[in-house]
Amino acid sequence: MVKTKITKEAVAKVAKLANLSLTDSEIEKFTPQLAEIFGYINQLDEVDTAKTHPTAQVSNLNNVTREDTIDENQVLDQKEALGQSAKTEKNMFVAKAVIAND
Amino acid sequence: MTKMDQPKTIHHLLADLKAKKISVTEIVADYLAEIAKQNGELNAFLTIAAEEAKAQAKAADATIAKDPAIFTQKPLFGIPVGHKDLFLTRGLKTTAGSKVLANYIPQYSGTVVKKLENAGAITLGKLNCDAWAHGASGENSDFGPTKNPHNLDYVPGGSSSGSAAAVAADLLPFATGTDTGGSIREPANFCGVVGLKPSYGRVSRYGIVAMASSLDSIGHLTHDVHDAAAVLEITAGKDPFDATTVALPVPRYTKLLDQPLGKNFKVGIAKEYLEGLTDPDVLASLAVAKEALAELGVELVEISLPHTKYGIAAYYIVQPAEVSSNLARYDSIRYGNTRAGFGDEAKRRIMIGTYTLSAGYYDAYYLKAMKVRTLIRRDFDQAFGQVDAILSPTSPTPAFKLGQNTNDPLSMYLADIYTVTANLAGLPGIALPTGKNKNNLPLGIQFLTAQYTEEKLLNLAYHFEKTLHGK
Repeated sequence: MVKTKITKEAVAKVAKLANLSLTDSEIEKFTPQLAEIFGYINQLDEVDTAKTHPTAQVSNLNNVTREDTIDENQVLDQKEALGQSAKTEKNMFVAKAVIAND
Repeated sequence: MTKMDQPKTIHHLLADLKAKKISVTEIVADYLAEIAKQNGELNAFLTIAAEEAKAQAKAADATIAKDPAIFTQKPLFGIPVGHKDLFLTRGLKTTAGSKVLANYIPQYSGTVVKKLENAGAITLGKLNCDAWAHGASGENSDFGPTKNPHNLDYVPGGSSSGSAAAVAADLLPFATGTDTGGSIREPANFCGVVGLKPSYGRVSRYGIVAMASSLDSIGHLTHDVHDAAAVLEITAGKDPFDATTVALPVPRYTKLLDQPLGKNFKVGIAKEYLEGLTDPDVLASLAVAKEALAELGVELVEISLPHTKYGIAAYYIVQPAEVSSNLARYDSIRYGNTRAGFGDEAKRRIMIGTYTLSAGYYDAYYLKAMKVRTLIRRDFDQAFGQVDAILSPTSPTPAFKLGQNTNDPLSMYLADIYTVTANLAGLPGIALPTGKNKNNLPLGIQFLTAQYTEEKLLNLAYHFEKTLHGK
């Protein structure tokens, strides 16, 4: 079982993966807190689960499907759909480019 | 109508409305006046929909005048409600207690909000909570902590902090809440009201800000067990917009409350729950509960839930993993503010979850926790082969002082020990008041039953409440 120590570098890396911008003092504060929390949750290692199946959900339901039809009552019109966005252009949401255009 | 020891229940209000002793307009005006008086101190409401509520009350009175039978079609007609600020309410600001959604006005309402509106309930406003429902004290709200109405130096519990405080202070006859690891039961316990967490899949999660999608349970806080049953009759049931809701029929819970408990009714007490339990108030509360059960002729049985001690560890892997994935959608593009608005607790949970789900760690953390979840569920399956219900404390201590645990996230997490396992296993649970301690703080207990047996849970809770409080 691969587990590494929670270091400041690990916290900075995971913050980047989660799209959180942390200040140095936040990394300083969170590192020992997260280390303590992981120290606690690591106690699961002592439980023998070699023959145990995982439980991902507890609804007792499988493969719930529905008809592929559109319910007009559940559709927002364009004005409503865009209404909560801080920045729109030509009736569209504005997102940052993810592929550089050069 | 604001005397703490004489709370106005839904069934009292309905009886008065039907007998024309009071109008909906008067009820709404009374509650709004009380909210105006107390909310500055309690900080239970984040948004008050005073004008909308007054207009609806006026319309409701006109309807009653024309059609006195309206109450049979709409069983909560004219009854005020407040929603935890995680419940989407069309046109009414919904913040999730976070600055990220400080100005968010939902374009649609959640299923439970709609069902309650269709049953005639009138929304008075939106209730404070720990941001994104992350917390056990109410102190993680970005809009300031809610206070415990029984003692303003103490926390009301969380994350449904405003819901519990508002009902306890008689600012509402009932309030909605969400419970992912105890967020209805723990504040109910700290505030001395009834908190019902239905089984996973019993009540729709559609249109409610998601915390951890395999754990979130949608319930409510009320003054008594009868009201808890009356509201569940409305909110429970399959919803095509939430594929995890079950198609089981919804019993008329209120009609089943006073049925006698089955012969040889057994209540189990897990020996693992008593290990390390030292708080004298909590022990005294358990003793009061055992006495009441004995009076009811219930047999108390010692049971074992051997994986209890791993509940918090499994929960604090599964829950943050799901939190990190649910909160990934908040990018300010379609709605809301940027991710800079997340508070410390949300940041911690997003990072824990991102870490445990990241490449190379998934098996060691998330998969492991899902396997321990199987073991915890199996413990309960075995226990419910022996007993009808389980009695436990709701929290290891009564309400604590504001600020006492804020710098120690782990110790705050450990306070969830008696509540999280019900979420991991999908069980229904109810928190019930038993009395008060010398600091005037409420004490209580919790009952759990097998998944989808809310009628049994409420039946036991009703008799227990009647024995203890003579209601």
